[in-house]
Amino acid sequence: MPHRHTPALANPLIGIYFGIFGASLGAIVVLLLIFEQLGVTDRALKAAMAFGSTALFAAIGAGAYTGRMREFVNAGRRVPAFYNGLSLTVAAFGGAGLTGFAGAMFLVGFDMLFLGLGIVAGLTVMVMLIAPFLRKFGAPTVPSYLGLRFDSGPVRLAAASVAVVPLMLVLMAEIKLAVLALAWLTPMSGGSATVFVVGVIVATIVPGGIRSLSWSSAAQALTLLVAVVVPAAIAAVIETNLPFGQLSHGPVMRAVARAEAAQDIPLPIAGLLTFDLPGSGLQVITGRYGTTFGTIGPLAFVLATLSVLVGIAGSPGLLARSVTTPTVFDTRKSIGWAVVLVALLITTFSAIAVFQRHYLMTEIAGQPTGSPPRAVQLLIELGHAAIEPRQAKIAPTSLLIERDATLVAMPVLLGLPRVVTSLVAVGILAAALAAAATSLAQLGLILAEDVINAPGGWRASDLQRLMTCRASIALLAIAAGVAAALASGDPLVLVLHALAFSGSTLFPVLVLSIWWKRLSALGALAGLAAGFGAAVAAVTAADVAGVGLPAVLAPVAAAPCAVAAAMIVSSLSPVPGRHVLEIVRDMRIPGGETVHDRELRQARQRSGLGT
Amino acid sequence: MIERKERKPYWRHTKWQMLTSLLPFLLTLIVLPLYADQLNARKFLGFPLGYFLACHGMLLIAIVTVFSFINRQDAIDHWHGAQEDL
Repeated sequence: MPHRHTPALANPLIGIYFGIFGASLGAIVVLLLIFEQLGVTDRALKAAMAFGSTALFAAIGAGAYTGRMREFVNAGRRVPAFYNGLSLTVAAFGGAGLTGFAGAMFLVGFDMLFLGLGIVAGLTVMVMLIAPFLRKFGAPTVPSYLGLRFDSGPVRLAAASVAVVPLMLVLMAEIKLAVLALAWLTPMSGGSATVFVVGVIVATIVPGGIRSLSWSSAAQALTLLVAVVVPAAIAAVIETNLPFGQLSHGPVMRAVARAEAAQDIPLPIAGLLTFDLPGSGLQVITGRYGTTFGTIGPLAFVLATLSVLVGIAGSPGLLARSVTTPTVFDTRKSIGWAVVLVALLITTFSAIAVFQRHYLMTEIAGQPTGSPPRAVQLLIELGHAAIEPRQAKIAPTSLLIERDATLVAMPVLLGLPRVVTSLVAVGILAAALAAAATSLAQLGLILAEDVINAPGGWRASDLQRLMTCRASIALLAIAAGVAAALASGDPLVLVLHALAFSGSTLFPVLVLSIWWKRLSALGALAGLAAGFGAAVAAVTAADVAGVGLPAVLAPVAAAPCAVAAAMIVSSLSPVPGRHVLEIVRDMRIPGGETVHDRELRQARQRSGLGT
Repeated sequence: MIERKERKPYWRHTKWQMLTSLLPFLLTLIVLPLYADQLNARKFLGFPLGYFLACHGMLLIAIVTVFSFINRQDAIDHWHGAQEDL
């Protein structure tokens, strides 16, 4: 029987569905703005915002219920490029990444750009080196790709155990951040907030797996964009009379530089390899905004950009999210969209940071400590700010601001309605939920498909596989919730560690497995082991003993180790067989049936199970 | 569907296009921020030039690189008949 493999078509109504979602979100915000004017309490407004939006996300996830395995593991490969790009954007930045980035941009200035540049460059490298080939391959997870590519169970298991580390770190960081955002909006905190967050994530992705994840995280990305870009535009109108703060904050930045020079803000000079990130919690500005390499040294800046780059490009969660598009061309386009949207977010955050610095230098500095401006008093009441030391007048370096709350502080500082503050908090909550769900869905699929069902997964019935996936997702969510509640740690640092691990272990092996046919199963195993070993050694040395490179820069040492080990062991082991070489040649050509589907079909035909 | 003998030229073409897109981009990414301080003396759109290039400029370069990569790779796919049959 001739086998046709035309790509699946996207739902033509999808634009209308998202129009309805956007309208509902807008309606909630406008309605609450009216209620605010009518004198409804702050607490009720915030709770309505938090529960209204999470209910919308969970409803989208539940509405995308599916009982079919291919929908559950890759959304039936029907997600159009733009929507896929939306979910890639929110997963690449994540709640922890964006609050950390925006906060540190305000506190540190220029030096923090390493994170934004690293994410954008990581996506750029991903589209050139890895993602389109993984889409043609068609495997739902990175370990199952590596297992099938080398026709080797051990490689699959090794890749699964290595991929779990970054995914779990991101999941914990994002749950922590979602709990933090929830504490801004509702009276819930600590244990009850963790239970609520885990419950929302499970309710969102268990019904339809990746299908639910695709549509709910696209909605969450839209929420994030609205919640960040609209208040930033209002702030830009207030500060520069133009709504495009991304391009018009230049003159404000120069005014900030003049004020900083006049008030003698310190001008630190970092050593070549210094890497001092502001921690979470209340922090003070460390130097002047536009000056370079005050807290992160020039060499550390370049190496950190490259480390984030390889971490993003090799991130198992992002790679698996980029292969749910109808065609290989759409995969490339979706990452293109993600680059555009991430760039929009980065410039927005830098504009917000500059406006806040301007407010700090002109409106807050020099005011009497006893009666600070009303906005500052509000922030202190909310716990987002403090004044220390308490001299007669507030100095720019004596106002402490909570790093992860600087985005939420922006509408408060500018005196915007309280609903706008809640909207920003909801955007952050949405981003954290989306990034957590992306990692959790991958973890669940890896546990179910690559570990439990691995040896003869194609023999199991769809129902059995679906149930295993759902059970693993739920179990891992509970485990991650407990871990996030127990483990202490800065979410941004956890995310940077996750990037260090994925960049050290998976990135080198993935790139070699596509661009170097000769890479053998033993070579891949050696690469994964060497990269992981070196990364663990570098991170322990930095975090525990305090020697060597900072932990974030682990890929600088570990990725070359992985490449060297993979190449040496491959050269010493026999050339891969004809079947494996044919798989690699086939994967490099966009057209035709995906390798994963073909192998599965042939395995079923051979065993007489039918197609 | 691609012909068997087209696979080698297709891959050679793809490799060169990847390298010519990737290497200049990586070079700019590494070198540009290091000179931001010297460039900051000049102004552009009111921004210090070094900051503008390291932030907005680098992002713009990334966007242009990605979309020109996508278009050229798509052209290569069609030239060799390697595209998906829709």
